Amino acid sequence: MKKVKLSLIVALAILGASVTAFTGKTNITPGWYGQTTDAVPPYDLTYPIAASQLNTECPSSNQHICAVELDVNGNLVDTRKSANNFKP
Amino acid sequence: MAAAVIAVLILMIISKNNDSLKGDFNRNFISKTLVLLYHSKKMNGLRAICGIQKDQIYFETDSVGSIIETDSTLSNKRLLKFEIPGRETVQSLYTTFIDSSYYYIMAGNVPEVIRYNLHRLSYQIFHFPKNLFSESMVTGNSDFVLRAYQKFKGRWDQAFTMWNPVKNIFLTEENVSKKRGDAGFSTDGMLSFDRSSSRILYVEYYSNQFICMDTLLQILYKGQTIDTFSNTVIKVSLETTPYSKTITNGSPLHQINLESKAVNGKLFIHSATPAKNESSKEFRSNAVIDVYRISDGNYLSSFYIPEYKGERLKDFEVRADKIIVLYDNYVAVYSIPFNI
Repeated sequence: MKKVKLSLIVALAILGASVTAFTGKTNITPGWYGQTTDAVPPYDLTYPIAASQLNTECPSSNQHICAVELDVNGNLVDTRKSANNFKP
Repeated sequence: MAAAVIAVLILMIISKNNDSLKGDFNRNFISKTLVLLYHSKKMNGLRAICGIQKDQIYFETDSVGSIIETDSTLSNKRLLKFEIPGRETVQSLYTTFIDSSYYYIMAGNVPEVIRYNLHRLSYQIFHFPKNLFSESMVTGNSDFVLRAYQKFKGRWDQAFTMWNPVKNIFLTEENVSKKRGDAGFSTDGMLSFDRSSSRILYVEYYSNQFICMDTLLQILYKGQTIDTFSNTVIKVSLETTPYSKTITNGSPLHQINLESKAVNGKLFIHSATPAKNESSKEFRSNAVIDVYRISDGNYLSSFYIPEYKGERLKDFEVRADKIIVLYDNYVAVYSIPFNI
């Protein structure tokens, strides 16, 4: 029983250290070395755009371009930036 | 058992060793720190600082046509609402500026500029007769600088355009920013305008480059920030459906510069890169601002904008001896007790 407990503690310690090693500390700035976080909640759901049209592909809260949409003929339709919550 | 302990120790050492993330440069830190003057809980939906006029501070919200006004002590909050024609498309991508008597909405996906006269409460719409734009700046009452989409050799990219719709003036550059046919992803960045020197600054997100131009888009110089990441690789990918194509990031983003502002002959850049002479702990609990001289692009000094209640800076503006800082849930005004 003692051995099982010890093994469990060691396994948890390894897991904890691994997570820390590979993710670093929390509270990392959005965009910091490729880290992204959800767009700033809450979305303004009072605006009359269907929830399915929320811009879920732009997760960072920094204002960089995250998508440019073209029609089938290659004409520009819209551009989406992070921290802008909606697509048209 | 011994192997497990050694493995744990190695992993712990690796986790604490963040030096590999540091750039190969030093910062010239100002020893004095900012002094917190006022702070306030942020109103819901407020997302950027869009103007400072005399004793008023204006904030952009995530609902187009709604701006928030406070006095310089962050008191007397007022929500100002304006009627926006074609609101649905404007909402999808817009930037707001308050400048002298005007409230500008730069609607990149329409594309157009809506200009409200704050005294007469009337508006004008200037339709941009070319393509959509992703970044914009107001440089005069009717003078705008846009980073607009344009095809080069059959592929979408972006170019700077100076546009005066009243005088019907267009100036588009072809050689200021690099054209890679990637819809402008790799050269994406931030425009700012220094009124005191009439200089336009463009700071890239993913490299240590910044460009200084005059109002006719003539390059005055190409500067470099103090960090050493000059050639970040940004790959774009194309997602195709039967009805549309989407150009998007095809590689993890490694942002070098997070925010930039040009004020009174100085360029302030919020950097994402720690220097050799700062501790990882300090770097993580502050936002480091590097200051450059706009006349020649030379680096001057750096200072920290601290976290507030565990939150890091989202946006900032510098005015005279004060800095207004936007956090996730708070707004703060600091005084600058040193010469920048």
